[in-house]
Amino acid sequence: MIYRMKFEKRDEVKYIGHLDTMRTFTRCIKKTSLPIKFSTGFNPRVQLAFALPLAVGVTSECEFFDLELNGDLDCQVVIDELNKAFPSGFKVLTCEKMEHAKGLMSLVKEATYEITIALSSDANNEEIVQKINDRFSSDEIVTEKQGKNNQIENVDIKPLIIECNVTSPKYNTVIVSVHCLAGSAKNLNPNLIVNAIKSVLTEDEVDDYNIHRKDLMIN
Amino acid sequence: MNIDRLLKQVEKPIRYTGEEINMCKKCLDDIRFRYCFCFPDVYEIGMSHLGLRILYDLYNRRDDTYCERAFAPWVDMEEHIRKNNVPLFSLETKTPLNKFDMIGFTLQYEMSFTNILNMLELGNVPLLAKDRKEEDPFVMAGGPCAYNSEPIVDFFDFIVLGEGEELNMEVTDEWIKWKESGEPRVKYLERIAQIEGVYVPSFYDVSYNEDGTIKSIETNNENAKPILTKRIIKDLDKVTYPEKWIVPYLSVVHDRPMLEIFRGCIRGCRFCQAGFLYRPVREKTVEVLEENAKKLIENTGYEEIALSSLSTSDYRQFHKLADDLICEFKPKNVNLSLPSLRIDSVNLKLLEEVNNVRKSGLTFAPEAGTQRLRDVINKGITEEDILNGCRLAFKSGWNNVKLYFMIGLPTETYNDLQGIVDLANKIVDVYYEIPKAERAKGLVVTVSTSTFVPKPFTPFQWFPQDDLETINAKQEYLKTHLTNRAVKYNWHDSKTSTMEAVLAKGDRRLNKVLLRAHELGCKFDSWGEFFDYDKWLQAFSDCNLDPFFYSRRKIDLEESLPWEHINIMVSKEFFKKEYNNAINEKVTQNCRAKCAGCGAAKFGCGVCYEK
Repeated sequence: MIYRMKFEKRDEVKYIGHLDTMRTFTRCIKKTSLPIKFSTGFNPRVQLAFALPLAVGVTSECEFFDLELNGDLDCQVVIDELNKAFPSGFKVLTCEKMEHAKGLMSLVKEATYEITIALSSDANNEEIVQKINDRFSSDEIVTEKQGKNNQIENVDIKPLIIECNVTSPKYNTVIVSVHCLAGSAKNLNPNLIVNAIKSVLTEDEVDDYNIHRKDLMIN
Repeated sequence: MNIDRLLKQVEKPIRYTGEEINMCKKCLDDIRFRYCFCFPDVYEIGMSHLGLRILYDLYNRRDDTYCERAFAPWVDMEEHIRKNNVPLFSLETKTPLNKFDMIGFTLQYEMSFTNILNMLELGNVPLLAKDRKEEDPFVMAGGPCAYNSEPIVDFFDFIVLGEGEELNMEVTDEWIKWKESGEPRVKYLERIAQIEGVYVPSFYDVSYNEDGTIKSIETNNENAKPILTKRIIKDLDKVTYPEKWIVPYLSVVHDRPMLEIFRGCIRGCRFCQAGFLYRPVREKTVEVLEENAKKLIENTGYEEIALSSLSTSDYRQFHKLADDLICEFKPKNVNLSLPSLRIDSVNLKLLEEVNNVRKSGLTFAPEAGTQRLRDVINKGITEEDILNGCRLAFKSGWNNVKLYFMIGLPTETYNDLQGIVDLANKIVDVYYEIPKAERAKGLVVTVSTSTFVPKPFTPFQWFPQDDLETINAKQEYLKTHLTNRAVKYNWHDSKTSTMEAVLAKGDRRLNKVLLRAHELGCKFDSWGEFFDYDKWLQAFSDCNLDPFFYSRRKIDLEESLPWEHINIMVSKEFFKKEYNNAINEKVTQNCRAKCAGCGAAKFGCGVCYEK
């Protein structure tokens, strides 16, 4: 039976890269008393598949992994067992079981990211919202991307963006919410959104950027 | 300052974030003593160190104590924290080093010393013990290089000698009592100076003869012991072992829990400092080890566990332990890692069983190329042992053999270097003697040489180290003579070993050199890309000291040594006897075969009393 888990990755673990996260999950799963179904062969492994890898430094409330277990278990038991073993910062939110599952990675189509910009104290919120809005409403959003061999390439990210919203919920904070294409076919790396924002703001205007994956749509 | 902003700009931010599985979390309101264990190298190296694991667990089992960790920040992080004036902080609570009650460094290798100065500076702790005020933390050190800590004593309030399970707890208890008493800082040092194994360097005065040798080492405080004796744990079964093993998120150098099976080594190789420092050999029982192992795997989910000791096959019940562990862990898909195993047919079978199909390289450490030189260094391995081991291994499908040697050993000649070449060639011959159908393709014999570093508390402490030209010429000889296509030759940078020897046998005058080297920017000296030999030479010349007075001089057996006041319970008389045995190419048997009377029996435990 395959158990599809939705989980969150919070601030304290956001710097753990994708491969390190997979290894950590494997170890945590082995710590539980769940009936793990190991792969066959010389090097038996916990059968674990993730959806779209999350970039280092990005938090998320909508991550997925599939885990294969022997037998039909109550989903809440699986959630509780995993959360007992997981380090703080990772938490399984929901679980769904299925006999057969298509590869998670191929199901990913769209994602929503929230980029929270902490402004420096003398920056003007309205002005900044305007500048970002202008940037994202133009026909082309050409931004720098680090390509192969560390070469800088220019790419237009506009075709990958479905919708973009800029708000300033409170003093010194601007939130850019971007709904975009995601997955193995067409994917927008949220760091490119930050690059696009950076290109219209000066360094003195901004203290910090934080990226959060708000939603990952799978079907 | 927002640490998170810095982390976004550095390579591997998880070196600094902590929060790993089994990291200890405590409510600070209940804590009376806050301690930070500092490892003077990067996270990946520090987290591979067993001593850190043991002490972290030991302190944190106490309700009144919280032990946190700090590592040397990598150069990118250092740049950011200096630029933003962020003091170096602990992983657990992100507390700056100077806010702890005590911080402790482990002295694992001499070439990490400059990192200690750097970490103190980054943590806003005054570098020199004499400059520290009432509100500053106490700075202590322990570990193998603590037995001759003279070159770095000015930076520590006190040093602990030997195993920490009891000693560190006594020092902690005394701190809590001292804190309650409200006494001045020096009183704490006077209190602990009375504990066996605690060395307060400022309570000792060292004077020198005109030729630079040690004249006397005398106490200047009535609480200080004239001779300091190391501490050991007599019964290792009776002390706790870490069960809540921290699982790093990042791949560290040694990424598996370690099961310490015994301390010490029966062999008595004359170059090996560890072999003398940790005497006598004390084993843990199979029952306790199996219990420890089970807990370690249950609490971590690791896919592998390693036996840890100086010589795995010398554990008396090794085969029972290995069989039991395989039986326990095989069904759970947990591998058993068996380092430093002597290669014979039984052990080879065992290796095959635990390695599944992977035939990773087999390692031999003959250390010297001829039987004559192996007798000098008392390395009890013969050419026959090695060739037989290789023959068995090749027949079982191995095709990758690594050989470790030292160059510059006492009495070495080019004959001995040729011996290295001959041995490598003979191993190649052994491989080709096996019919093609019975051996794996693609033989690789890797010969690695390091440079001999004479260490204190060994029979070789009186011997000089080769100078650079001599070492380089010897490496050159091997480069030009190891010509067989199947043989690969690796060598270590000899300049690092040169400085290591100076610091290993140095005296108190080197403190100012160390400070100067730090000012000149020396750090991460054990990392080839950072070690700067010329800066070190400059530091010595700025302090008007000759580094090679310490390392390239044949020391007279009757001369007073900088570590004369430290007693590891292996007598100087024994070392002298061994020194002469070395010169006479005379082998000394291992502890189990025949007691050599080193002195460690005075502890009243371990191998000295085995039936």
